[in-house]
Amino acid sequence: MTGAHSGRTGRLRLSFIIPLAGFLLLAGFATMALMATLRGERDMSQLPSAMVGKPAPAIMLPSLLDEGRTVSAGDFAGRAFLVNVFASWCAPCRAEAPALALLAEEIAIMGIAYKDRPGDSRRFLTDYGDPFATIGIDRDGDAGMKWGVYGVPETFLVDANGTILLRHAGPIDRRVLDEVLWPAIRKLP
Amino acid sequence: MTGFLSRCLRTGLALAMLTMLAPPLPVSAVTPEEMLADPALESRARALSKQLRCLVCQNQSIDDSDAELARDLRIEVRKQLATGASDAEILAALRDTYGDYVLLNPPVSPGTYILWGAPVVILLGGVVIMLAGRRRRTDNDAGIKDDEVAPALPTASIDRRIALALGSLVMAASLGLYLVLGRADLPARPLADRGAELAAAASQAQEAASDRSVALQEARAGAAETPDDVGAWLRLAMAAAAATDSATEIMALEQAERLTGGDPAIRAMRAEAMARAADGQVTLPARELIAEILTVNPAEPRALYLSGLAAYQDEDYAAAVGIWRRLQTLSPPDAPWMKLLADNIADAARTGGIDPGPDAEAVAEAATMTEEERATMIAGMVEGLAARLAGEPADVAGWRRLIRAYRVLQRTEELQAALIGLADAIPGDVDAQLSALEHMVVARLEPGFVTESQRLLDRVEALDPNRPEGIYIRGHFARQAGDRDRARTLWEDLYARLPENAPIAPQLRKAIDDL
Repeated sequence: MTGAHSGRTGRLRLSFIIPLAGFLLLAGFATMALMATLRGERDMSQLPSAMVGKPAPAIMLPSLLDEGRTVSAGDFAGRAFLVNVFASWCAPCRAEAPALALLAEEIAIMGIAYKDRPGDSRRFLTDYGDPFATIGIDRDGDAGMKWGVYGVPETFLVDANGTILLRHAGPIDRRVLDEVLWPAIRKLP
Repeated sequence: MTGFLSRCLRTGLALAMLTMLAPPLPVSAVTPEEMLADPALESRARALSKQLRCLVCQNQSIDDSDAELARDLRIEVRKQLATGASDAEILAALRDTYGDYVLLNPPVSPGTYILWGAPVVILLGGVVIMLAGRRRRTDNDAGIKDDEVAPALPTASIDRRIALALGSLVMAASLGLYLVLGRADLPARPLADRGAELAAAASQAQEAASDRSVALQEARAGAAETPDDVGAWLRLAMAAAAATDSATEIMALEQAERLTGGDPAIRAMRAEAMARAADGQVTLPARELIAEILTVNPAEPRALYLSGLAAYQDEDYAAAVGIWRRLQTLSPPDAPWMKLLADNIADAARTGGIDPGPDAEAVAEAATMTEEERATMIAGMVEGLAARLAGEPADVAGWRRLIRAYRVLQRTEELQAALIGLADAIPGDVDAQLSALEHMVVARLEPGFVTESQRLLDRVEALDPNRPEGIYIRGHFARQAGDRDRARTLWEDLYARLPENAPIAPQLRKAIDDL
């Protein structure tokens, strides 16, 4: 009688503990994800990019400043460079202008004027500075789609072999500059 | 009573189930001009769109979403369909650029085994636990029978059967719900219930906006009618600011600027408009403009405020606090921005971990007091402070506080002494020397502070011999001392440096001619 009784509670406990443990495990994952979001380490808007590790799209774009010429990622063959997708209508692009000016002192930047009227893009450059080595006009967003852009601004780091090393969606602020871009640029050979 | 309650509960539950199972409205964001002429291709395009995630909104398919990117992707899908690409090819191409995330139904791959396997595992786990529980009970019943202590109670076995039936029902229902609703391509539900509320808010906003746009139209007409009237352009700028039309505001301010020959106050308003147009960010061109304004008039309050804001946005909190403090000492005590300024200083000091000075809160508080209360509070603060500073003349923050207090109390001579005290505490700071000298000139106190003024003038000359205010003041003191030739040399030099349209140029010319 006592033996049967203790066996029963033992099994009862097990059938209680397994679902509880499963629940706690899930709750633990959820809490970790939530805390990471609250601490700013995990950004829900930052989607993993499929373009990292792939060759930079070699799409030819009409040049914004040299009429009649074209620009493409191929212009930078043999050296690393940044690609910045911007637009005059994009408020965060204005906010990241000082950061791009800083970056331009160390590395060439190719600009892609995404879905923007060329006149507006040029005015944007006069107002907020022109950190770009070359700028391509992407009037209807085709190049943006080839780069997997889903919102401006976006910034890509491409190495000397033309492979995309890094992608940042959203404006470059001081944290992104210090924790993401500078370390990645310093690591370049 | 309980019967009634349980009936209510049951009806409620049934209703809730019905709402959940009701077919959602067939909404779609596809616009007619996007559609393909061939109905077969169009239906393939729609089917593909329902499988693709809108990367901006993330929980809608591109078929549902109004987002710009969703539209681009819909067009891209149709473009590729028109070239004869297969569904699989189109999905693969998009997956290449945007990653698995673009597919609403994630593919089965090592990374998604848990995702796909979890529901099956959990369901099987539930079945196993239920079966185990059932066997245990029967074992137990057998044990009781063997011992013949008590016969199996029929009621207990009925309870178990009900529990088992309920458990199975819940599981079957959840499986059914999952199969019906657990679909990635299920469209989003519109905010039907809040429609009226939203419409009311929208019409109210529209009314206010149309009021503002009428005012803007009137101001625009006014400026067009009298294009030489500075006031008309300023009114247009204000109406444009109210209608959040930054482009018009900046244009109107540029016109007003042109008419006034580059009035620093109007240029500062333009800098502010530029910052507002950039969502409050003090942009590079705005910063350049502010720097220009401050070289012409280092005490322009709006430019000073913005320059502090720029430092704050650069996370240089010490500089922000310094600049805003300077604005505080320069502003009349009843200036409308005092409260905002005190709050900003406290905020910057907190964020930057800087000691805001023991009176920061008191000053913020003082901004909300009546005139008399404020005067009494400050008078009390002043006596102790002045006595302490006599013994500790290196306390810069203390001098600044004392200066602010004397300004409020309008005690001119004490203020002059405190300004000199601050200038002596930081002999390397040109601004401190200059503000002591400027006050001496404005309050006509030169004769009483001869040695002090000479000391400060020497420092200004050594620190920044080209500073326009410094040159002007040196000329002024030279004239006071009777050295007209030196005054003339200095002022002519300054006059040559001034920009063509500087507002003080005519005054300076007159002063030189009067020598």
